[in-house]
Amino acid sequence: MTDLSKRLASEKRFKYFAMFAMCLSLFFVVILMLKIFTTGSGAFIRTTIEASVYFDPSAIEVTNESSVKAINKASYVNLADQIVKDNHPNLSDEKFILVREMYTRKFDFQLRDYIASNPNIIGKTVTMEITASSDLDQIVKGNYPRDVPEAQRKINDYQLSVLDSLDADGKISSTFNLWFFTNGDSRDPETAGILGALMGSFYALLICFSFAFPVGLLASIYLEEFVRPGKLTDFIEVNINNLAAVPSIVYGLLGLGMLIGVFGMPYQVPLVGGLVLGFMTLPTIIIASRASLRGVPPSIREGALAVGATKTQTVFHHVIPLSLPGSLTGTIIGMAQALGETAPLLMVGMVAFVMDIPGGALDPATGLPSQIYLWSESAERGFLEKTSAGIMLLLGFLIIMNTIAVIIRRKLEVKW
Amino acid sequence: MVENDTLALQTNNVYVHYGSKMAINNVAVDFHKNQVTSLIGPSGCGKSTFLRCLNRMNDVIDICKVQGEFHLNGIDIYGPEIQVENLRKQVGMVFQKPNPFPKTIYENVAYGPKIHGLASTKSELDDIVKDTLNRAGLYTEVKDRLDDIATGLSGGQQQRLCIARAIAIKPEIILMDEPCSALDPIATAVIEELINELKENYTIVIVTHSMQQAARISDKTAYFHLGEMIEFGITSNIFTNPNHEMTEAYISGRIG
Amino acid sequence: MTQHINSAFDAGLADVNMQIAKLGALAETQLDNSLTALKDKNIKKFDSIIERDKKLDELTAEVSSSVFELIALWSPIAYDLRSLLVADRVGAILERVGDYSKNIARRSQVIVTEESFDRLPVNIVGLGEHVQGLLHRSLDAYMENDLQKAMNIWESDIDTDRLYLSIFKEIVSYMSDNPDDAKMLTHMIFISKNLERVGDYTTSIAKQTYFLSEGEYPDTKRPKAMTTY
Repeated sequence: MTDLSKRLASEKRFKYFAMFAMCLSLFFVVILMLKIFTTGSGAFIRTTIEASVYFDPSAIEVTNESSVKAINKASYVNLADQIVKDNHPNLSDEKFILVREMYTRKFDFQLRDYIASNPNIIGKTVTMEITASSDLDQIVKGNYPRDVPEAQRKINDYQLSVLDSLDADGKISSTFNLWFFTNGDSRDPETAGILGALMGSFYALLICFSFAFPVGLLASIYLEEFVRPGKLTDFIEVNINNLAAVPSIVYGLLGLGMLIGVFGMPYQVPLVGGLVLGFMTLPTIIIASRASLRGVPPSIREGALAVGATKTQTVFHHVIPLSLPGSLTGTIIGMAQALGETAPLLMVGMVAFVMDIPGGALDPATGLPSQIYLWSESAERGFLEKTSAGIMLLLGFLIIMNTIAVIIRRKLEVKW
Repeated sequence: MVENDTLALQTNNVYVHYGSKMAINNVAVDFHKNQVTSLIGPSGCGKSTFLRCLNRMNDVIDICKVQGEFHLNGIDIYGPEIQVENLRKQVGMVFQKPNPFPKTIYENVAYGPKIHGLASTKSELDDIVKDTLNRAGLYTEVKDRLDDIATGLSGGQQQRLCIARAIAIKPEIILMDEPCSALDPIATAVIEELINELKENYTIVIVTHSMQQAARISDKTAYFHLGEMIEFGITSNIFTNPNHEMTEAYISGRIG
Repeated sequence: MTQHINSAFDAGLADVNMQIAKLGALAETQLDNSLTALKDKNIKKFDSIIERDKKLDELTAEVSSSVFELIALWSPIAYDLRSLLVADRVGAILERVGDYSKNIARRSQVIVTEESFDRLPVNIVGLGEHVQGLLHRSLDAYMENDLQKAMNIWESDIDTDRLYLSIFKEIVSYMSDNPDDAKMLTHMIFISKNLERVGDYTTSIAKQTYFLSEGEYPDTKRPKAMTTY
């Protein structure tokens, strides 16, 4: 290595290798993002069919005077069928079934919600945008090819012709799919929403935070400030570091075996899911908190002790406030990790089909990543875009949480 | 110099071990009321260790073992009935690096009185803070920004704030561990003048690396070397005509 | 004294000691020349003595400024500070010795031309030689930092006083018999008084030597043969 030009050349070579490696990884990220965004963006749009709706009192079980409860309880299947017949007159029974399939199966729920929010509507006629079925939606969005043999299509030739005539009349349109954000899961892609999973994840993370943060903080304070360093603390430290690297499914097994098996907690609920995520996040929080406690200069502790503060006063008045930003940052990063975990939720049953939006930590629920997993397993073409949209949402939340962590670290951390 | 007969703190037969290593070997120093006593000596001579014995700051260090007699107004400060928090209320301490709490100036001074319950009302606390800052010669400089964060002050001001924090709980003795080593000469001079004023009300023990500082501000000086106290006497004697060759070599910067 | 950590300070201190040694040698030469000139009635030598006194003044100023500089730059304490203070004082003393030598030379110039000079019975040269010895020994004691030698000087000051006293008495009694020689005799008294003062200064040097090594002045009263004159 005596020749300078040789050394410089090798340096250049190294630079290019590094640049290549970086570009390659960037390329994969871009491909991933493009794929997710192009696939997922469709989930935010739904196809609707314009129809005139006559709220025929004879086809409805309730009246304008009925209570909201009664309205919600009643069935509107007949009304829905009648409306389809009204808009597509002179259909044979066979054809009617085909046409009915073009509208969402949950047409009756849409009608129910409309009646509930528009009292005195019964007996009147309005024009409504009826959500199309997912198969039709996919055809309109161009995700299903039209020019393949009929047998390979979910929409047959007759349905296509009806669609084309509707389109010619200007009755087919696309609107923002609010349902994706307000609905729970559904068998039908067009009505399936993420809110149930979102709330499930929210409750789980709430439980995770309220369990793991205080426990983690207190454990780290004890280890860092009170216990005398020795063989025992070394042993504990090694184990905590190891636990941080344990596969998350092991925590799921712990939750299944201990919380559900031994303590008899219910299956499928965010409480158990949150606790399991808490177990998983605990080592991360302890490690981060201990690091930030160690970051508080000893001179602050000495200063407090020298004016006669007790050990506990010193820790709670001075050390913890100074180390809190660091602990919180670690906690948020740990929770962001927990938000993305599927395996532990899998083990405690938070990966089931749940239609209702959970109202609390004890309601059956699923989590964001498990919802994505469920959708990805579904056969319907319509769930594919939901899967990607779910991933987009999850990534968005992860970015938001990590940004909050960075902001806390930047703004609140005291500089020495 | 007129010898003040009242003793504030008496030490005798002091031995300190760090594990198996002896840090202080049979030291005895008497600290008189309203006097400044300097502890000087090369690095690692045990002067700081000895100082930290006087308010039991060494208790924090597990391997540090302190033996000997320490009598504060005749009471053994290592006695079983002594609560270390109360001892530190009587024996305050100022450290080498200014270490104000990263809170407001007001809170820094008010902290000690608060935890010791010296003020029952907010206005009493205000008075204590104002009076203390005045005595620390800091009030006029900071009176308009008591609610500013203390770490924004200059180094010298921070150190005076630390002195204010120490005297806010009305101690009898103030220990200072190289209080000026992180400060510029002007800030040092201000602190030295402050020490001279504080002498009226407090007994001060100061560890310093600056022999000139010891000469300027102290009434008595003790020279430490390798954990032993070589010489202890009136400062003017130590600095004009020390009895011991090692002291002479050290203070005049010679290879002893 | 052991070596200072900063060799520059040691060098400065050595430099001052060198200057003092030179100054001492010069002062001794001056006194010796004055006495020789008086003995040999060598009028020519007087001018060179007066001339050389300027050199002595310059050297003293040099010592003083060197000391001042060392104190200002190094802030010495204890022995270092004492040695500088003492060097400055010894320098001043030697300047005074030089002044007295000059004064003796100037007065001698006047009296050696008088014809009655040879008939004088007094032994001024004897006193001079005694003082010369004292000066030499005191400088030796100082340069060697020899406490014992310094204390001997201290004690032999009484001999100077006795010698001076006897010379004084002789001159006074001679003056009453020979009033015409009054002017010359007055000069003689001044010369012997000057020599006695030089003797006093040698004890001052001894005293400084004591201070240098002990850090305090000897507290015993110096033995004295007289109280006035």
